[in-house]
Amino acid sequence: MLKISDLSVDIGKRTLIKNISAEAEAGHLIAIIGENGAGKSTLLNSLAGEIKYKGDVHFEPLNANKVNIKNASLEWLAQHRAVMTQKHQIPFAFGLVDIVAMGRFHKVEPKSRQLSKVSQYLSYVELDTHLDRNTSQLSGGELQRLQFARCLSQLDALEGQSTKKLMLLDEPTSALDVRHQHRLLKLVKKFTSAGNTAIVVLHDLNLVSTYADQVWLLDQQTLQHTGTPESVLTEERLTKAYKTSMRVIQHPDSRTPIIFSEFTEH
Amino acid sequence: MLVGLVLAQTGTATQALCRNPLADPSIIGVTAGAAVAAVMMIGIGYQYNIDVAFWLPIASFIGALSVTALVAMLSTRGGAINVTNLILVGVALNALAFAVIGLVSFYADDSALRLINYWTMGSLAGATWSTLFNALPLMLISIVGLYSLNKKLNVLLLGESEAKYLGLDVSKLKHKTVIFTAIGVGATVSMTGMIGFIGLIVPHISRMIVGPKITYVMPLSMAIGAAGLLLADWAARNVISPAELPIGIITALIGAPFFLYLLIQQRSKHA
Repeated sequence: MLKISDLSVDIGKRTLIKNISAEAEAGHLIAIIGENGAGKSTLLNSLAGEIKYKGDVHFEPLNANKVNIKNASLEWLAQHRAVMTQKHQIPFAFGLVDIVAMGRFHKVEPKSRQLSKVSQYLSYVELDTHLDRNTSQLSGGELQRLQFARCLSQLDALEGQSTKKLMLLDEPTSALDVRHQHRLLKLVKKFTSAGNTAIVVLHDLNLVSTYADQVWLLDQQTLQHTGTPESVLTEERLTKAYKTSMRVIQHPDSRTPIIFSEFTEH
Repeated sequence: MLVGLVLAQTGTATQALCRNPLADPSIIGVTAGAAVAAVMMIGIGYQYNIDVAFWLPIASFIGALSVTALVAMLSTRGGAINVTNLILVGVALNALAFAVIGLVSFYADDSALRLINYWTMGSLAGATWSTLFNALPLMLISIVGLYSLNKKLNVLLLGESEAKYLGLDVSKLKHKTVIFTAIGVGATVSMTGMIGFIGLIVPHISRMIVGPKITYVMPLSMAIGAAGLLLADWAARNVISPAELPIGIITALIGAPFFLYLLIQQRSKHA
């Protein structure tokens, strides 16, 4: 679905990420984890086409030809992949409907269909009760949910479709309360379970354990480990990558890893 | 009216381009750039008997475009326009422009001096049917050009990266906006000199009425700009009647305090 071959990013003399090769399968939610500065956002931004990189990224939507992201047109990319950055602020006081409708900028559709789609996506993130407010009146978490709704709307992400799509999310749960963290990741799961792919930078390792199909652990600018949450989220690997003591136990019901951290000086 | 319309429209486009409600061609120095070129054209033209009326709009456009390019270059950090830099660069370029205009006036002969004086204050008195005829094609290009971009400028308000992810060719859009704005500003300056603040205030009033969507703000701003300039012109003609005040003085008297009000309001929002 998404194949990364030997990807490196250098800015001046600094290497931000080096020699990353990985494959993201169709239907998978992939979590990128690692300490601050490990290269998570750089990797995601490269995949988004935001920064220049060496190497290649091929995207292969099911039932469609393989495309090198470097050569893809902006329009093709808009139809096939959505990106949510860490910036959620909007400088002008837009209505919520306007923002989510902007996600559909590349689509040609009647106004009535656009409106019904937009209100549907607003209700997924529970903002349909806030329609009387504008973007300057939303909290940080609400803005984050609004931007996520815009991404869903861009791809019509929750409808069964023959072409499969890609979502790149940079810390989409960073400002959310516990319930909305779960709600958002459940929606991402719904997206991937239909054969789409999502690559998500996450800091909460227990959310990673619960929702990720595959984990990419970045450390020292390289991809150190890839695999299922059970295989990557181990005490040894996490302690090394995060430079602090990590304990991992098993969830009594789901058997998934539960991660505790303790501060230790290194 | 046409002048007001173009001024308000270029203001709307500039604000969208910079994603900031404080931007306006007259504040970031574009208008002054056009005026410098126009004044130099007058100064040189009178000495060498060049057809000033014909070359004036073109000279103003070139002045506006070069200043826009300079402003964009100097205020860009990491691929995005930094707004604080933008306004500071504008201040510096405005000061520089006035110095150059002063210099040209110093050397100009009497008839040119009088014209230059009117120019720097902004006045409709010099605008005749023939100057309008010379500037009209450029104004029409600017009006139609910017209007055709309004949907895209709206999406640009989300952010440059975000707009790109949604399929918008951001750098192409920015180039087009800059060029059409420079054409519009150049054309109006060549007719009336520097009339400031219309492009700042009018889009703001429109946003208070219809919200921030450029697809609504732009046409409303064009209408309000046209009406507003007509009103300012009426005031200019009647305040010290029978003499006529330069209209730029009226718009600056209203506009400058309004600009301060916007600055204070923005600061309290971020505090």
